[in-house]
Amino acid sequence: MSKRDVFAELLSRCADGDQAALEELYHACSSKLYATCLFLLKNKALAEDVLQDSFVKIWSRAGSYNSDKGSAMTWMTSVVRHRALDVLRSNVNQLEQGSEAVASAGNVDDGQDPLLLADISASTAAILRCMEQLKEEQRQCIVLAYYFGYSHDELSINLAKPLGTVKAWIRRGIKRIRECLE
Amino acid sequence: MSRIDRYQNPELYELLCGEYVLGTMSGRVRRRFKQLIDERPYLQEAVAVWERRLYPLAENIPAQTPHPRVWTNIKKEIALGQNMQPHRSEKGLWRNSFLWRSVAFVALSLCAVLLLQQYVVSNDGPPAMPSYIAVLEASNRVPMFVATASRQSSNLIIKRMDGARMSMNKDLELWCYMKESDTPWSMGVLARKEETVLPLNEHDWKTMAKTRSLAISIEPMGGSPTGSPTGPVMYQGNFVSLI
Repeated sequence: MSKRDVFAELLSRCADGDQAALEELYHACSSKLYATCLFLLKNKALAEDVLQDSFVKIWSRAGSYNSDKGSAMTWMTSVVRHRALDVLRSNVNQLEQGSEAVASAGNVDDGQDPLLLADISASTAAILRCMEQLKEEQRQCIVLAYYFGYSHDELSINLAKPLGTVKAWIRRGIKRIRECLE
Repeated sequence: MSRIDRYQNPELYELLCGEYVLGTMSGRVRRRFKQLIDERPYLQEAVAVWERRLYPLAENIPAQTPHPRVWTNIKKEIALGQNMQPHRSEKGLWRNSFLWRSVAFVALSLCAVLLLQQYVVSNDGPPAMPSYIAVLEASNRVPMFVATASRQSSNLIIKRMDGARMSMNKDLELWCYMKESDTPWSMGVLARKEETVLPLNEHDWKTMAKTRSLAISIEPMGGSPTGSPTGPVMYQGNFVSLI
């Protein structure tokens, strides 16, 4: 049974109220999901809170997972990322805190390029190949947005480019990714 | 192009769904778009497709082991069935003071116009500026009541926002939680109209200075028979000093 099927099976058991299945799922997936939170939020306490809230949600909504729409890991990543982004967007001081928050996160190296890391699946390899085909500015915006949670406004400020330019780069970038993956 | 037409233009909504999944939308746009997604199955489909396209990027983030307390808290929350309750576990977002301040700030901004209207409309003389403010939110973080205390008018005004429901055979009671105590102090039952005005005497005013949060619980008609909340606490918010 593939890893994907194992997670789907665990979710199905969670939907039946099996807490041991949730524990297994947590121990198998929490380090990846926590890393996603930590990259986005750059703050350990907030990342832990989001992970906690997300697993409670995964538990209570396990029955709504539909394997036709994507893998169990995609569904769980969706729960975690949306929660983390909601928290990030409600944090109005995020820009000011930037570097201090990253430093306090300890394990996250701000200079780490997630695109260069090894040990990847076929679907990851496919999107990384597509990312390589993007123009530098499109790739930079998409990396900063996806991994580090930058909004349109934050990208515009940090890259010192007009908001409209940044939005156009992103829109063209995701269009190219779509075409590349088709 | 009208707003509805915009979201029925397949190319445009497809790309907007991509931006939503990528996460670049600002808080306000994101919330509005989320609402549209919830209402439209074709947007849900498009979001699912983008998630399948982009989420493999998450796979190459190096794993980080969370502190063991996270799992302990999850177990506790699930065991108590708190995921269905309006309050959250000790380490949850609800009790995270850092986040609280951010959320309160956003909520305060949302309520600024409403407050200005309140003060301009409800006073004949110069407007009494609030000394304290609390935005009381439901468990889904939607602001439902705004409470303001003004030294100038010696009143605590609780304004009900659209969407807050009143039961026919239950009352809502307002509680103050002190900074150094978990025992709440009743400020009385809320009026059934949109606005409740509670006069504050000197003793009440001193209580305001020591208050860290306000909460509203559902109680039998006439208020809690015990002096403490007996029904569920439906709304709560930090009491923020503006002086």
